[in-house]
Amino acid sequence: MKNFNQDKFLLPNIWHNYFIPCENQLLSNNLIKEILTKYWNDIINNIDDKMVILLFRIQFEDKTFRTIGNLQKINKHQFIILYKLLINLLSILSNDYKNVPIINIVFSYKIIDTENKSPKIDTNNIKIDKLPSFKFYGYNLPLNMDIQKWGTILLHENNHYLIQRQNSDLLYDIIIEDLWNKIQIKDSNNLIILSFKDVKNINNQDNTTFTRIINNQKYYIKNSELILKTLEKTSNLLTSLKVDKKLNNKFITLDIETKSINNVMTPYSISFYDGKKLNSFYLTDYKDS
Amino acid sequence: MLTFAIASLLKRKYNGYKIYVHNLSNFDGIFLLKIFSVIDNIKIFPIIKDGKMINIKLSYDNINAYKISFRDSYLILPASLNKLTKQFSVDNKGIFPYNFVNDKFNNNINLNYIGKVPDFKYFINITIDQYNEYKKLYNNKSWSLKNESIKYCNQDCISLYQIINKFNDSIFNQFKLNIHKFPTLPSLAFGIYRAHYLNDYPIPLISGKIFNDISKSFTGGSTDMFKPFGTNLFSYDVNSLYPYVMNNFDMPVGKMKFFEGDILKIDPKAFGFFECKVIAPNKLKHPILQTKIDTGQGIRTVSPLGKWTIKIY
Repeated sequence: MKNFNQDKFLLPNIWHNYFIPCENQLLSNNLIKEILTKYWNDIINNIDDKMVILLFRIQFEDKTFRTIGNLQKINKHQFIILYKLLINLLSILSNDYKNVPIINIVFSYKIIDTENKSPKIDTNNIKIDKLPSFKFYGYNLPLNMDIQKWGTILLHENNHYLIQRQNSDLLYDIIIEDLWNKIQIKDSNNLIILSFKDVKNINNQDNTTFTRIINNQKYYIKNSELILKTLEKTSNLLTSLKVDKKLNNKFITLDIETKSINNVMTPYSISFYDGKKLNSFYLTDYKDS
Repeated sequence: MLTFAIASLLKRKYNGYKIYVHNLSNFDGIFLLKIFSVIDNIKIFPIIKDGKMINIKLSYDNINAYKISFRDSYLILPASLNKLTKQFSVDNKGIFPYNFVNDKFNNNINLNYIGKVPDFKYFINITIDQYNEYKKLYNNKSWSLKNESIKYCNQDCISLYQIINKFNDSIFNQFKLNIHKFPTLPSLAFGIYRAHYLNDYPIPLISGKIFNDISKSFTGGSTDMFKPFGTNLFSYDVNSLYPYVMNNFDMPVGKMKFFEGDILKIDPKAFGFFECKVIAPNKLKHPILQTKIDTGQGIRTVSPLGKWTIKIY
């Protein structure tokens, strides 16, 4: 038994936040492996054949949290797959994630006892958490549309390219269109890590001025320099109101007269009117008043 | 008495009705809330904001299937009942010796008093001629406090009913909306806007951090003080500047978009809220750009000198 209240963290069907202190280390492959191992030993190895739905979150020294990757559904046999996913994600995340000391890694999870025992490692449409104080945290990606410089071309068929990323196992799977390139980053198991679109600038065809669209973020790049980042926020919109078909006169007016009795303001006369009938009540008509 | 009165309202035929009480948020609402709390088989759903009773919904009968709502008519027609009767040209409030019932020198006035008409001093807001006319009505009969109180109370109800009815007719004829859907005048105005003036552009509902950030770009107007002396001076005042600007100038609408970097390189006409670095030279005598700071004794609006950051619209 561990020296923490392990039972509390093994309760099923409720969300837990399991904090593992990192003492201001930087996010690295080694740190991920060390922390994931601890989480596996403390929690996952004790869930029998149950499943866990899990978010991997990091907390920086300024107390802000960010989530890495999507919600995952795992069992205790998924350690290697999850570890590989996290380090692949780390390899394409911008240095904004890697250069800031981390005070905690947080596993936000729920243990579920479900009939469906098939795990789901979700790598599509990876989202980057928005910070409470707004900043862009992007990906470490080439700042040009000259895909021949992105790595080693493994395949070229018509408008389809498969390029191995430099110093990495990751692949760029690219479809070239007239006005844009569609890119998917895949790992060695063909799982999609990230999808994005590079849109050409119609006034400038030099491959260094374009717009990169990742989910709801747009990165405006000019001469291979990032000049502007925008993030479209979703929000509820003011809705229009339907007019009424009929006039509604379902209302009553009521009046209360008060007087001071023994220095306490007390109602002594009440009337209400519904448009047809008046109803009146007077204090002395009620014995118990 | 109050319990009997409320019980008379908790009937099936009044299901869905709105009960208007002028100035509900004052004493009347407190009396009513006290009574609601001791009546069996009802549930109370009050909405109270800034001390104002916006709506008190009651559900009643054994399964709480029927509902009535108490509203403060002052929140939708913010004027005294006396003024409203004149503005809406309806039957006026009655005449009543209010100070006779609440005579500070005679706390123990008999509520069943029958006798001569109380003295002029007990009536408020009437002239001596009106008093004399009123008194003539009782030349050959006794004046009963009970009868007059009920008559006065009834008249207030009738006057308020006529006012609300006229107001509802007027709003429905102009905007095809029933005022009973809106507990306050601002909510009615907003309803009219949403029903008739919301054009094709989307207006996001802003809350949380975005709202707080945007609100930092708003400060009160800059004011200055001068010695009241001068020659050939002209003074100006501007009324309704906010509505004028909202009506005649662009307002930020559409989907919200954050940005970081120089947006003018992509969109030279970018319009919205900007966080800017400001340099206000130290020699500036009247710095004009304002920001809000927490002084520890409350938020204050100041116009700083030196380098600082401003959120500006």
